[in-house]
Amino acid sequence: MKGPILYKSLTVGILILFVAALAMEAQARGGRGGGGGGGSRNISRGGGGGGRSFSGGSAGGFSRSGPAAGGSFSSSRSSASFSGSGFGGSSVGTRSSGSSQGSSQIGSSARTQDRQAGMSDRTASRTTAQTERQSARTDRASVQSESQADRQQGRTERTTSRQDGRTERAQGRQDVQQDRQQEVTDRQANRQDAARDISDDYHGGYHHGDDWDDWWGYAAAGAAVVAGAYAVGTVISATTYSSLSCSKVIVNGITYSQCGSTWYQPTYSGSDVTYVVINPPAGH
Amino acid sequence: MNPMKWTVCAVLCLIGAVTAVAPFSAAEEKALEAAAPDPAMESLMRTAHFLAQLKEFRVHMRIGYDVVQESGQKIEFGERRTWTVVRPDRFRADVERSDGEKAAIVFDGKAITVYHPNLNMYAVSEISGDIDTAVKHLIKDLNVRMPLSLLLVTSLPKELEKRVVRADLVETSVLEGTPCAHLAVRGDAVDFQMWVPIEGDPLPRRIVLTYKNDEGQPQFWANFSDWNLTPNPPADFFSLDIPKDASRIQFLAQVRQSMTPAKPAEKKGGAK
Repeated sequence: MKGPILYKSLTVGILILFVAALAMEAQARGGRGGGGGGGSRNISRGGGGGGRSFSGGSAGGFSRSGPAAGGSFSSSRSSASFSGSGFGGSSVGTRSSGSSQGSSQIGSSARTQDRQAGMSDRTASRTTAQTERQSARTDRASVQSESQADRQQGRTERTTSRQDGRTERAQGRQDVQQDRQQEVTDRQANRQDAARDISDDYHGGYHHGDDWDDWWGYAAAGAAVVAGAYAVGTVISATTYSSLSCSKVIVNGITYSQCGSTWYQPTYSGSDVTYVVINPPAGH
Repeated sequence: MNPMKWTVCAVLCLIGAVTAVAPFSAAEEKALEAAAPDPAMESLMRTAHFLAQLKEFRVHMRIGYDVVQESGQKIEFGERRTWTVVRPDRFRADVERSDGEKAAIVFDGKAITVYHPNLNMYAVSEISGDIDTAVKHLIKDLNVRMPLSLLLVTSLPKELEKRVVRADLVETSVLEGTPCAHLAVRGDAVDFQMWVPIEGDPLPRRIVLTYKNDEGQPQFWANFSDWNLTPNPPADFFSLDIPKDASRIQFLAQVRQSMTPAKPAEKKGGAK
């Protein structure tokens, strides 16, 4: 009697396992063949959200230029370049592209260096803060460990176990911090790559391949940068220009501006009027 | 039944079931997908062909787009745009940005004029041809921002075929009381979603572009309203009333070109 019962039990067990495996397979495949009407695939409505909170700050100083501003159906920063050198930070790339295309590289190099220096500073300060936090945690762990060891001689095993736990958690935190550091370094490298890439792209021509609608745009240099660098080809925004004392000069129907010894030409770029530093027009 | 036979029978049933529901091979699956009608792609291409063959239209857009700042903070900016198109060679875009800046971009078959009333400045680039030529010149040669410019050209179906990797139908969603097919389209570098009415003219009601390879994956969105396929604009609608005291300026791209002449082979369009 035991034989048939064993066989039946085994068979039923196999059948249950098989049905469960089928159900898991169907779930993994996104409910193929079922679900929404019109042959639609399952696309989750959930997830996402969260994100950063808006913490206020000054009204000005935010860039309006970036890849999404162009409303293009293509982007030169393709997935192929993501793993290579082409993936880019939007604002950094924009500013780099705006300032580096043209005859003068002085202003753009200075700005790129400034940005890189700024990012290095931030990276360094993050690293220092993380090191300090790590050090503080280690100190605290050490103090706790010592006091526990003093007070709880008889509980060596449990104390050791706790210490091991703390060490593992501390190690975990260090790993996370290292990961974050690595992430920051990666982002920094990406931004620098993007700045170089887009600069190169613009020197080689405006656009990639046939995707003519891939607008990237120019953006002007900030006032702080321009204050010391008046290289020909440097572009400043209308806002920055408005802080200068200039006189309007019309030559052959084209409007120029003389601001001290520096000549500017108002130009249309992207969706803004910007001012580019030029050599004095003929006769001036 | 003999226990042995019972087991053999059950195992045979299992094998049969496995064979029936076994996943298709990749090749079979691809062949099936190719053979099956793709309602999402059909809907997308119907819209593309419909827009490309329109003789004239006017549409209003409310636009928003993310700009990921150097700090990593994502900021949304906005604007309103109105397009008036009379094919083959008349086009006008009226723009009002969220910061109050206004601009008009006009193509009259002979030249493109961009006018900034707030600054009382305008720029002109002479180029003859149709709207397709003018739009490409505007973006490629003059580097003027023209969001969703692909929707303006008659080669839209071809352009989409070149860019789209796959299209899916998400659901039927109701936008402003109109049931629309919500399409999710994947491209190499840009994914987009489009909402197209299920009945009537397949004119897009909403588009969302996602720049998936860019930092922070910024998005661009546009809500379309008041599609008018017979705007009948007056003849002078495509000539801007620019004040006499307005300053004529050049496009930055033109100035750049004069500073660093481009290679002859790459020089296109009618930039002056």
